[in-house]
Amino acid sequence: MKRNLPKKTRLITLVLTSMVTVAVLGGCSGSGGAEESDTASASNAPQDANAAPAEQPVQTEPLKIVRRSLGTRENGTDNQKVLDIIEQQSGIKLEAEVIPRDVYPDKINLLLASGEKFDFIEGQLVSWTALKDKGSLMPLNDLIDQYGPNIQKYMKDALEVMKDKDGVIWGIPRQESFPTGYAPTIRKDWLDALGMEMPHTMAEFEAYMDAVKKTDLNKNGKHDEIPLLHSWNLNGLIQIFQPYFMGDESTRYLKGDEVIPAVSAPGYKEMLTTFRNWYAKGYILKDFATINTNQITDLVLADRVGAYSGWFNSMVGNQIKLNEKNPNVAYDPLPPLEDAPATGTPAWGSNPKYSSTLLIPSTSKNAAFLIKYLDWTLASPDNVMLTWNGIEGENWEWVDKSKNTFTLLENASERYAGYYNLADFFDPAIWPTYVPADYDKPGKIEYRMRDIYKDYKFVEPFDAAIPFTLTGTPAENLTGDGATKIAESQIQYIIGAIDEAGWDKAVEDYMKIEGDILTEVWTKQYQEFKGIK
Amino acid sequence: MNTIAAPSRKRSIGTARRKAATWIWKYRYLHALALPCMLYFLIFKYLPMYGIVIAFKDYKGMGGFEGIVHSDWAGMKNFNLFFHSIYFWRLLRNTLVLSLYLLIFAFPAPIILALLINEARGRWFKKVVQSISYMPHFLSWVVCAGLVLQLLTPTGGPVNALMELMGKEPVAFTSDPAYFRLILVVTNIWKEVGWGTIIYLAAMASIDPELYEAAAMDGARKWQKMFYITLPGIKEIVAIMLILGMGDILDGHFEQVFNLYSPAVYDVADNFDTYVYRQGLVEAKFAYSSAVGLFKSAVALALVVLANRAAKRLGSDGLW
Amino acid sequence: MKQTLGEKLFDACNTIMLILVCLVMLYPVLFVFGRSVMTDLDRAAHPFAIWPTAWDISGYKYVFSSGSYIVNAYAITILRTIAGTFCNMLFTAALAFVLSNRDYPLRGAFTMLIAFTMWFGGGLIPMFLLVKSLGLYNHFAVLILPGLISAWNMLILRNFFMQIPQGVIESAKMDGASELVIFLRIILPLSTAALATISLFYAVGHWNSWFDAMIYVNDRDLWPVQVFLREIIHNTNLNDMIRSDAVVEVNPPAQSVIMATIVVTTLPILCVYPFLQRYFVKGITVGSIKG
Repeated sequence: MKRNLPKKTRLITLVLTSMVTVAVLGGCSGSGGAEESDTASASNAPQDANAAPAEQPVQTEPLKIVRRSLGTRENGTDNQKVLDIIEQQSGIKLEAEVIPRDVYPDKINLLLASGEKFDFIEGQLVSWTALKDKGSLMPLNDLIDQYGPNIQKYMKDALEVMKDKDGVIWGIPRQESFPTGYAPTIRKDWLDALGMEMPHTMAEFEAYMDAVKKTDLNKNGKHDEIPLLHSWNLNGLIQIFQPYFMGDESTRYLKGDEVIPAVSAPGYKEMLTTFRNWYAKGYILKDFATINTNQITDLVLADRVGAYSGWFNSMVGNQIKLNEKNPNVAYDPLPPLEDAPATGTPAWGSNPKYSSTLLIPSTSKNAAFLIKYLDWTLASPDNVMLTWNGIEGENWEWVDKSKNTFTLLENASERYAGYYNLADFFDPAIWPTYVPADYDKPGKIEYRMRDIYKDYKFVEPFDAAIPFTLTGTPAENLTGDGATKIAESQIQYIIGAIDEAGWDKAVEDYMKIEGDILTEVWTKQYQEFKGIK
Repeated sequence: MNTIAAPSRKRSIGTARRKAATWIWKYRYLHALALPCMLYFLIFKYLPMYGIVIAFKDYKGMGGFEGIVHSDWAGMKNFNLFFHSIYFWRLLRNTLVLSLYLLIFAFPAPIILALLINEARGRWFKKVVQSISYMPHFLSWVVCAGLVLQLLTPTGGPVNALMELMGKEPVAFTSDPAYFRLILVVTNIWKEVGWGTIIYLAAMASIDPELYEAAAMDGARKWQKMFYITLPGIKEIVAIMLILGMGDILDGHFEQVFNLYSPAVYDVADNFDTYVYRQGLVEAKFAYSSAVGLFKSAVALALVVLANRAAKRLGSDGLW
Repeated sequence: MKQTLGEKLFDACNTIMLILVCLVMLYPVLFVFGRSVMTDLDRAAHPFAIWPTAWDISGYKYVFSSGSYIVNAYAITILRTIAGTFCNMLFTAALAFVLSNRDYPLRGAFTMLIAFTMWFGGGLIPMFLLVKSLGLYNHFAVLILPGLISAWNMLILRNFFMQIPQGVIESAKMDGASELVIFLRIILPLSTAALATISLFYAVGHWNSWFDAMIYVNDRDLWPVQVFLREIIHNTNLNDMIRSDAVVEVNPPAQSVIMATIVVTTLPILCVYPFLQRYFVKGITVGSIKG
């Protein structure tokens, strides 16, 4: 006797199966549409950047901006309003696709690899030299000549940084607002409590650290004070102190007309030895290699940290919090130490003045409009302010228009956070300067710090503007083994797991694995570059 | 039908056709159920497999589908780069050693815990214990690593505080190659043991209760029930999990190691996954990481095949 | 039968052991939950406390200040989890059943083909190209279809099915039942524990996944909760030197945000799980049979 499924079960099975089928088919039907739009756009006359200037190209689709997310400020309520005004005034349409910041380079690589057509890449989050070597970027010389008079006017020097050795421009540069990044800050109130002056030499700085280790400055009955804390693991120390020991802040070192890896250059070992002594004396944490940002914040807020070495304004937020309980707490800038060894210079390190900010993929169809948009932005400070900070009177207002200074209205950055500002170029000739308002406590502290920093000496990496590339050179196939060797040997040397001979051997091995090849390649490219200049 | 004379060709084709037809008809429901599922595997797993060639090409990461097809062949170049790394043996060693430790300690842990829970008294108690034991599984490794680092930090962490009370010097455990693997194993167990019991408890739930009743009536003690009923009852599932675990032997437990390690312990902690991650940071070395992935998969598959054969010989159903 | 002293001792030890296990497991979770509502200074002062001295919910405010996006994202996550798990189980159970029939002729071939995919695949780029050409890019279905059947889950389920006593199946066959009927009226009802387990695996997978959404979906309205929450964690965590100069970041303490994020993501699962435990009742009652 064949048992049939009861009617109810059959009905349910039918419904569920059709639901699933619909879901699957619904997904597949989109493919037809996608093909259509592809053919449609292909049949449009391509926006020929080399067309005779008299023929003004017309924008048929909005610029596809792939940018990193600004977090919660993505949902600025004024974003659409500002966009409308921008489109109205510039005549150019934009559309943004947003990617979470930590996966930005991965997604960009994926989009490029799959042949996606889009128009904008954030230059600061990817390596433009690597992308250009792969053929992923569009050269901009002609576009700038045709559509970028303002770009040429303001970025004349800056553009040199984005050129390769043949003079091809691969992206739009950014100008730093402030010629520094890396400098230590020190607890001024603790200096006062110890009766010490602001250190001006390494000896004085070390004396301070020693005193911090031995004195109960936070008055909690425990000797838990930490003389020096730093960010980004070992890099937080190296980037800050390298100029003092070596005169420059880079992984490369200029020795006469030769470019060698910094680890084999004079001063590097001395720097590591100094850190090794600090570790042995307890001036830096025993677990400096694994500590992360949150733990650093916790330690600072626990009122335990005597000096911090990292990005210059890292302690501003923490200071404000500590001030809630103790208004005397102040992390003040530490001046460059004057007793630098012969191999070094009394200075802190700085970000290069110019770096890349905007790149255009080679697959872009609307590159001309992006350049036009950029050019329009630079046409007047008002345009800059619109894209960068929003609507005058609602988000910001001039403090002194003749001096090009402005201030932000309260909560303005919640409502519009520079969503459509595609390229920072803090040249006072065109870019207005921010003056912190009274409600902006962190801004005021930072402003004061910058005032102090402007008198300090900073060195920029010498190789920032040189288009080094490994593609097509004997160094093309190097793997990460050299970097691994150095990374682990450095730390082992500092924590005392290997001795000086061990470090020397490590450098020797490194030079054999990749150092010698790199020296050859870099020197050749450097000399070519200088030869042209 | 007489089989003395060989059947004529015409007749055998007909027979074959009829056999095929009956065969398709006989299992028609199974075919119908299997068809959409296998379609899924065809489309989403087998269609994209052409990408495996990336490992053998000088693929630059541009140009969509044509870009993959038209890239130059690089033969074994990517693999050679990988094998000739001065760290290759170290990476292999670290990966295998960690997997071995986990196999010895972390594999049995959920089984033991499941047995304990199974033997516990009180319905409510068991439910609560189970629920609580799953919780660490839901925390990501970023969080867990952070907690571990805080516990073990020589700068005011409780473990070191305890050591200081006992008159010992504080130790930076996570930067010490001697302790690092221990930390990896212990934290792995702590995080996953509870979640791992789910599948064993489900298997124990499927054991026929009558077996227990019959054993009780024969006078079996708790121990005997556990050894003679429960354990054999989950034998199959343990075998499957073990076989699948073999395939994971080259798995570098990236999230865990990456969030806990530092160059001080590269010697014992650096494995293929973390190494390739450092290699491919921004420059998307698709071809290189593809080659490494392919190598790992090939070895893993070979191991699983061996493990499967061994399991079958010991009487299990195996994986296939 | 009375318990021996040995057995009573075992029971006592077992109970204590399990309580210890619970404490060890519980502490970190309570740690995260409790500290998510502490002020930064409080946390710094009491590194191991789990109860706040002063309540501070700024972390939660920040997380939910993404306004409509988080609420919408929750809807997407829930929809994806329910619809996705349902589809997963439908196909997985069907396939597992087919492959559990020892006399099905294609069984070996199919199993090998499927197992092969557990180790070898084309990689991210071909998948991306496939998704685009199928029109799934930026479509809700892309959160469900590419992961429709997990070979691992399917094989586990298949082995559970294979352990069902053949006798029951044989007698049903002799009564003339088709495979479909055997599947629906015998196999499925006898496998509730296994089905619940595998459903849980799929459901948690859906709840926690963010990578596929990040890769295949660029419309923020379609992003599940995990993508946003990761974004928040990384945004507050990264020492962000890339900022338009005048935009001052006034974030609440990074730790508060991260912990609030974790609570917001895991709390729903922890609440739902006990209700699924009903299906594990067998396991619980079996053990409680007094010996």
